[in-house]
Formats: sequence, C-alpha cells, structure tokens
Amino acid sequence: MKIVVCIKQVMVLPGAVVLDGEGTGIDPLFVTRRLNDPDRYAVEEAIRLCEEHGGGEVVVVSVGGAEADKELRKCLAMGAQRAVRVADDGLQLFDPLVVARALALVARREAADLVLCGVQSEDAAQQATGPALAGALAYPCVSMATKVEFEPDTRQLVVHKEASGGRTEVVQVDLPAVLTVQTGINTPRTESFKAVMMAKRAQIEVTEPEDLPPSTIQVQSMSAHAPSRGQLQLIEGDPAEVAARIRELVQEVSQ
Amino acid sequence: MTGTLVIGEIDAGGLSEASAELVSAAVSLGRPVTLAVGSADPQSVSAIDLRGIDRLIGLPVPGDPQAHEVRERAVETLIDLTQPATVLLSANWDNAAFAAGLAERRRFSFATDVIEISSEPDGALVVTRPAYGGKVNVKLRIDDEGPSIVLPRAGVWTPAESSGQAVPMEVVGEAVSEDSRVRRIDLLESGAGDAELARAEVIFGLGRGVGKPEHIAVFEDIARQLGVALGASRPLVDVGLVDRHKQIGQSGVTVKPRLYVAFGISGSMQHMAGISESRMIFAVNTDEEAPIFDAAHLGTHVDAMEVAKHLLSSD
Ligand SMILES: Cc1cc2nc3c(=O)[nH]c(=O)nc-3n(C[C@H](O)[C@H](O)[C@H](O)COP(=O)(O)OP(=O)(O)OC[C@H]3O[C@@H](n4cnc5c(N)ncnc54)[C@H](O)[C@@H]3O)c2cc1C
Ligand SMILES: Nc1ncnc2c1ncn2[C@@H]1O[C@H](COP(=O)(O)O)[C@@H](O)[C@H]1O
Repeated sequence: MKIVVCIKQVMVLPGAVVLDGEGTGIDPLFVTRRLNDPDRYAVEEAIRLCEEHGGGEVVVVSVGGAEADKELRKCLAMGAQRAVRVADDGLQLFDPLVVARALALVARREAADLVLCGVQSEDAAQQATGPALAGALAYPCVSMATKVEFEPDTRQLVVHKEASGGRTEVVQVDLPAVLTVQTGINTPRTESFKAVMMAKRAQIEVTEPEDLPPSTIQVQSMSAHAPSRGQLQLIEGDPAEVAARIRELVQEVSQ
Repeated sequence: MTGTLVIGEIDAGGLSEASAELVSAAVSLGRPVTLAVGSADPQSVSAIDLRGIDRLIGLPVPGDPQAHEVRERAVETLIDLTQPATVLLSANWDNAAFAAGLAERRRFSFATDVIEISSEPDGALVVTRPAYGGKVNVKLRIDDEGPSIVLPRAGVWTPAESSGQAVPMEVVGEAVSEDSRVRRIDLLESGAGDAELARAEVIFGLGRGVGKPEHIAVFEDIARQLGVALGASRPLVDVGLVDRHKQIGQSGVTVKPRLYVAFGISGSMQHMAGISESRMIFAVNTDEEAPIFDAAHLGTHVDAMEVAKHLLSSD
C-alpha cells in the first residue's frame, strides 16, 4: 500500500501576540514551530498500516518553506520512507483549497492508495484541508478517524470515526480514499537516536507548485484577540495564597 | 450570482437554532436571502417565519441526513438551482466533512469557523476567523463573484426572530441520489462519559500545562484529599495519562459543576464546549493571554504545579 501523509509545520504562540510590520502576519520571532499534533498520529497510523500489511511505502508531504524540512525529517525518523516538500512561495495559509491543490499534485503523482491528513491544524484550525484534498482528487473522504482497519481481499477500509453526540460511526470505504486522523488513534513512536541522525542526512525532494489556480483569498489584517475579561477577577498572591483560596472555594461549594 | 443561500438544518424542534443564526448573518449582508432545507419530505417541515427570509425552498433528500456525500450532493444541487453569491452553512462536524471538498471540486471560494462577515461595496466578501488557538483574529478578503461557501461559527449571531408571517415552502428539484462511497455499517453509542464526572459539584480539570505523569499523580492525591473529581483535556487522554471517560469537551463529557478549576488548560473552543455550564471557572495558567481567561470568573498566572504543592501539603 502506498500511503501519502500530509504534514504541516504549525506556528504556536506561547505568549503575547506580536504582529509583523504589515499587520497581516505574526512576527516570526514570537512563534514556536512544531509538527502539527494530529499529523504525528497520522504518520504513525500510516507506518502501522504498512507494517501490518506486508510493506508498502509511506511518503510524507508538506506545503511550506524550507523551515518545514525539520518536521519532514522528524517523520522520516519515525519511519516514513520519503519526504516531499511543495515549496510554499506565498501559498495561502488561510486558503485550505490552495494548499489542497498543492498536496493533490503530489498525491496524484505518487498514485497514492490512501492519503492521510490530520483532523485539524493547530494554527489555522480549519478541519478543511483533508476534505478539500478529497475533492481535488475525487476520492471519498472520511473525517475524524479513531480506528482504521484494512481488508486486503476487498481493498476496503473499515473506519471508526467520531460522530456528534459522543457516538462512533463505523463506515466502510473503498481505496483510494482520504482520511483525516484524530488524535489518540494510536501511540506515535519516539524516534531512535540513530534514526534521527539518518533523517538529518536524508534527501527531501522539493517541487514547485506549478500551474495552480490562484487563491481568491487574501489576509487583509490580523489583530490580537481582544480579551473579554469583564468577569475575570485575578487572585493576587503567591502560589500558597492561591492554593488557600482554591481550598476555601472547594469547602464553600462542598457544603 | 447575487443572493445569499442559507442551508438550514432541521432538528426535533423544527429549524435549528444555528440555522436561525445563519439567517441573521445572511440578512446582514443586505442581499436577498433564500433559506433552503433538505428533507425527506420538504412539505412536512413546519412553518418557518423568520424575519429577513425572501424565499424558502425545500429539496427532497432521502435517507440518512448524516451521510455526508448525500448532504454534499443536496447542497450542490441547491447552489446550482439558486446561483447565490454566498452560501452559509453552520460550522459543525457534519458540514466540515464535505464543504471544502465541494468548494474545491466546483472551484468555489471557501472559509470556515467565521465569526464576522460583511460585504464590501466592490462586491468582495470580508470574513473574520480566529486562529492560533484563539489568540488572533484574521480578517480575510474573498475576491470572487461567487459562489463562496462560508461556515459561520454557532453561537455568535443572535438567531433571527420570527416575523409572525410564515414564508410559503417551494419544493424544488428532484430527489437527490442516496449513493455514497462511504457506507455506514454501524453506529456505536460509545457510552462516552463518566457519569460521576458529569454530575460532580467540584472538578479539577488538568491540561497539557500539567501533562507529565508525575504531575497527574500529584493531582490524584489532591483530588483524594479534597474529595473533588478529576477530568482532563483531550491531549492528556490521547497520550494515555488519563482515562478516555474523563475527557471533558466537545468529544468528551459535558460537565456542570459549581466549581471548575482548570490547571494548565488553554481554553480551546472544543474544551470550553464541555465546561461552559460550570457555575464558576477558576483558571490557573501561566500565559496571561490564554483564551480560558475570557470565560473564567477567577484566575491566576502562577505556575499550576506550585499551586498543587500547596494544595497537597497543608493537610
Ligand atoms: C474534532 C476535535 C475535537 C476535540 N475535542 C476535544 C475535547 O473534547 N476536549 C478537549 O479538551 N479538547 C478537544 N480537542 C482538542 C483541542 O482542540 C485542544 O487541542 C485541547 O483542548 C488543548 O488542550 P490543553 O488546553 O490541555 O493544551 P494546550 O492548548 O497546549 O494548553 C496548555 C496550557 O497550559 C499552560 N501552561 C503551561 N505550563 C503551565 C504551568 N506550569 N502552569 C500553568 N499553566 C501552564 C499554557 O500556557 C497553555 O495555555 C478537540 C479537537 C478537535 C479537532
Ligand atoms: N501546509 C500544509 N502542508 C501539508 N499538510 C497540510 C498543510 N496544511 C494543512 N495540512 C493538512 O491538513 C490537516 C488539516 O489542516 P486544516 O484544514 O488547516 O485544519 C493538517 O492536519 C494536515 O494534515
């Protein structure tokens, strides 16, 4: 089975929001970059499926700048066989359709049997790139997968997915297909030191997103979310005083 | 392409609250508003009289309303029939499953989890959506004659009021096909939540900020000593530190305690969905900008593990 996994380097803001000069982006100095958490689970799921079904290949793909190579290497160290980066070149962070088109270029070229995405990116939080990619490839899509089983005889997947109301829907889908993977589906492996060293030297193929229809979406401006802290009362004092206040409240409420 | 098409959803009580919110958002765009519903029998949908609706249409949609390929086909048919500039669907899991795919397939524009929407004099649509864990609002300009598919977040707009005058239902189109490449074989009522947690009066919620095994052990001791219930955010459950039944939030338990103390929880939309009915929220988070402080009544920026130390020792 050939599985393409779409992985994203996300930007996390650990503290206050600092915008760039134009006010249309975040100042890179105040950003932490890391592999999108759901995507780690997607990579693990792809490796597991290949391992359990007699091999195959896991190709990780990211749309982004050279800084995203770090995350691609992490996935190689986990056990993906190859990594491809679609050079960002101003691709829209907030237009999941454009990102999906770029990912579709690679998925099509690789003739993937299965394409995995994360359920959502921690920074843009759209839950849309996977479904958009399915649209671009004309593959069926199952979102929020919490368990995946492959039936080799019929080349079908049986997928458990989170449904509203705390329920789990079990569906069947033919390959090729796109799945979005929910966190907690498995336990992602930690990379061995040796694998990390090997991945450092691995080749990352870089392709240009040629001839893609341009985005219709532009970031006009960004602003720090204006906190609505009307009802918030800050507890002054050191941890001991805070703890005392919490104890008091617990006692009041428990009476 | 001119008007605004609102995809309404029917629940037990008729048109859903979220759909009435979409109508308000649509009316604010100042273009003719068509409300459309898909239903096995559109004629049986009870009278709809929301203010601002110019036209009410119903499309026969047989079968399982959650089958997203059928829903996708229904929405596509409604778009083709009405040629709107803007299509509004509620941002929920059922719609997220197909909306971007439909947009990409048909080369429509797309934006989701939108909390503000307006149209510019030149016809462009401007939407605002949160990003970066709720810390930033991003204003996006969509330059497209349409259709643009936009998913507004539920609970942001005030639902449209009734005008007292029911709009006549016009049944349009042929019943859409029930075919789906994704076939449901089972629906499990996973008995998700811990019933005791759902009923607890005092809950300490643990998040990634206290997400080390040794931290969890400390809070287990505290919970035993103080007689409070423990719950957690999803990441702690995902890594196996806390039992799945103790996950609080959109895909976990909904809690209604008199006191909820959040230790190292940022306040994601999905977590807040599970605690919004708490009488009092006390947030312990070292990041002054964490969105949980928007909803908290009491808060502190000191280190949660320092607080934990003192919660333990004085007994
Ligand atoms: C479809 C879907 C469903 C989901 N369902 C749920 C759900 O049901 N429940 C849920 O919780 N999540 C759910 N999530 C995940 C959600 O989006 C967030 O990722 C999650 O809630 C974040 O958990 P957190 O606040 O513990 O972690 P983070 O967002 O990482 O926050 C950790 C916080 O700890 C603070 N911190 C760090 N160190 C300390 C310290 N020493 N003292 C005090 N504070 C500290 C940090 O400032 C930060 O604010 C869902 C996501 C998706 C896509
Ligand atoms: N730039 C990108 N490169 C590769 N994959 C991406 C990118 N952006 C989003 N994805 C994938 O799409 C998923 C959902 O992202 P989003 O639609 O932004 O919430 C992520 O978990 C990734 O699997």
